[in-house]
Amino acid sequence: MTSLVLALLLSAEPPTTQEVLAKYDAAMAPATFKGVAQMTAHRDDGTTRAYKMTFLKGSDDKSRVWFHEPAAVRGQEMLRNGENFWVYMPNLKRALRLASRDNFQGGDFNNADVLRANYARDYEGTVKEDPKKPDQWLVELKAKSADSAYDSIKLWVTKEPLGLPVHGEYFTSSGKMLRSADFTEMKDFGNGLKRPAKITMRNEIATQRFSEMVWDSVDITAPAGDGKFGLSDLGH
Amino acid sequence: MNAVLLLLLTQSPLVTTTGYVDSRTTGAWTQFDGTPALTELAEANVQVKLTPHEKVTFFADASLFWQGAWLLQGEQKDLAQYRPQVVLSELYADLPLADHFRLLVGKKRIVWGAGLSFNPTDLLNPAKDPTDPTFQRAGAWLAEAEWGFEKVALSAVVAGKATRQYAGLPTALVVYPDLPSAEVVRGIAADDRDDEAHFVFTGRLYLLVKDIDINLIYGYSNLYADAFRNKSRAGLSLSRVFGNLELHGEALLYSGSARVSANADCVNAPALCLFQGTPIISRPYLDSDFLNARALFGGRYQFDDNAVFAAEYYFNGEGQDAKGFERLARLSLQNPALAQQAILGGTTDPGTPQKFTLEALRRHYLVLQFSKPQLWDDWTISATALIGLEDLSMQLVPQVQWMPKEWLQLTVALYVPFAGVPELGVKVGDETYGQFSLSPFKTRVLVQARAFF
Repeated sequence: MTSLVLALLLSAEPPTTQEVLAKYDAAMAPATFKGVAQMTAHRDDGTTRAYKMTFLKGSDDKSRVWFHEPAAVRGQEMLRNGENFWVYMPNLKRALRLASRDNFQGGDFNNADVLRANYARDYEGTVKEDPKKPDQWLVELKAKSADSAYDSIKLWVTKEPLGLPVHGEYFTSSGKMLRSADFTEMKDFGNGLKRPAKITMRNEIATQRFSEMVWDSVDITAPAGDGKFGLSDLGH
Repeated sequence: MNAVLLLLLTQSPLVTTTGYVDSRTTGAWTQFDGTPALTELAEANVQVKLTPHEKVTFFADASLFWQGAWLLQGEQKDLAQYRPQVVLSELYADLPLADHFRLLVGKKRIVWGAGLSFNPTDLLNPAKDPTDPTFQRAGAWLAEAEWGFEKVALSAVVAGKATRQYAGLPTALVVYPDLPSAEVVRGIAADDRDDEAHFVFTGRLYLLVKDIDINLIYGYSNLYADAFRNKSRAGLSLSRVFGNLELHGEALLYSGSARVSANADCVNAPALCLFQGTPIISRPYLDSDFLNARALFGGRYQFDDNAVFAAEYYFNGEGQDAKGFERLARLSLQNPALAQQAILGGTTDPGTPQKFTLEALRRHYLVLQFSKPQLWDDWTISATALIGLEDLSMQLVPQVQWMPKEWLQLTVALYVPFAGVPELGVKVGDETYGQFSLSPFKTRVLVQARAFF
């Protein structure tokens, strides 16, 4: 019986791209949440740099990050509001505008990976089977605008539950692969949110480099008032 | 007991502490008397943020500096500017009384303009180092009321000048105290007290419109950071990102000028003028009604490899024309200390000691900056060129930085002034000087180590 269900499941018609991306976004970038994560950047020489930060996501267009570690960046903050990114530098006592494709703290994520995760809005594409991975859908995405993190993405997501990412490949407009990612360590964050807790982003240009983002907590019930997403609130 | 309290405070999640210890050793090839060839500046900085209640945050950013100067050129061996000092860069209470309203009282550095090397619209703060703006942490004693929303903010600030301070703490604000300072009593400083209120009021309206940061600024000051009395000024700052390119500009409009003018008769004999009581320096345009401006336009481009190139043009409406600059330069070359005192006046709070300071004496400047991080994993190379466009003199600052540990940053920087085009410089004797080669140092090498905690 189980094998019959599995067979039916695996041979089902692909869901629409929007269905998959809505599920992906709900898991990986819930509408609002507060979370604590640690990013570890592995560099060419084998050494690492670790960053600890708190995220607050206010809506699809707003997010903010407070950096706690290491001491050299403590007090730095990042803010995204729509297409606009700023970084507050405590040693300048002011905020600077950023490009969305700037590297996130010099690691292998870029700002948009972290602060602009809204695939349903930013990308369009197709969903199809991958014969090598029968339990996953292959989602091929093209960016709708130049502000998106990447020009095209290949994303492998689970069929059941729908939309949880397993692997991603991220490309430039010329088709060159910039990054690849693996999504591992499924974790129950509470309030019905179960998703991979660890993202390993590999730099496909400098292949010795990769960065890991491990989420310690994601609270989708935390308040995220609009007052936290104005430029004038940075540094306070 | 105190240790227990300190332990509790530092372990509480409501307290965050950070800071650094820093050593800057400078070796210099000097050209004027009173200038040390070897200096050491050691700094211990601590920043404490205490949030005992969701509507109250206290913040302090304080540094203790120890300075040493050796191998001095000339007879003067005791230089006041190289004595140990405490600098309280910031100390304030931040009171977010409502969702979109906060009061802030204390000392804070508030910068609204988008410029990197200069902020022409900044009426509040001690000047920053245009070659490394991160080194000026000090703010102004002020009270701020701010209504902040996502795309709109309205701020009103009133600040008082610290008319006297000891150990980094002000003992008089806004007006001068009745008694002269100890330095005046000892006869080693001029008594510059007056009976006026030294303050600035400034307000800004921030708007985020079509992805452009817009700041509309108004300022009204009386003998605060310059010699203007009852002066109104209007400013505008804009910033927007286009792909990897950020463009920005800021401008301040006002009437008249606080620029100094050197008495031509005193340029070659300032001591005689002093003896005769003839003013060496005057400010003839303070009450003039011609329209004047300070403005900056620039951009910052980030390459795919994270290298950053920035270029900014700065127009300084307070700058001198060629004749005016030549008179000031000749005066400076005769007595650098006297000229500096006459041109700058007494600055009670210059902020934190800087690696490089610039009193912009000319009108047109170009600042070029290039930085390439992760040259190797922890190595960054950068260079800044500060160019005076009238005489093409230049201050060039190449720099190499290495972070061998997450908490340790090592820097070597070279400060090289160039005299520029000889025909456009000031000739005194056999030497031709551009504005940047008027520096007491011909060349400096700075070695810096900073450990964060």
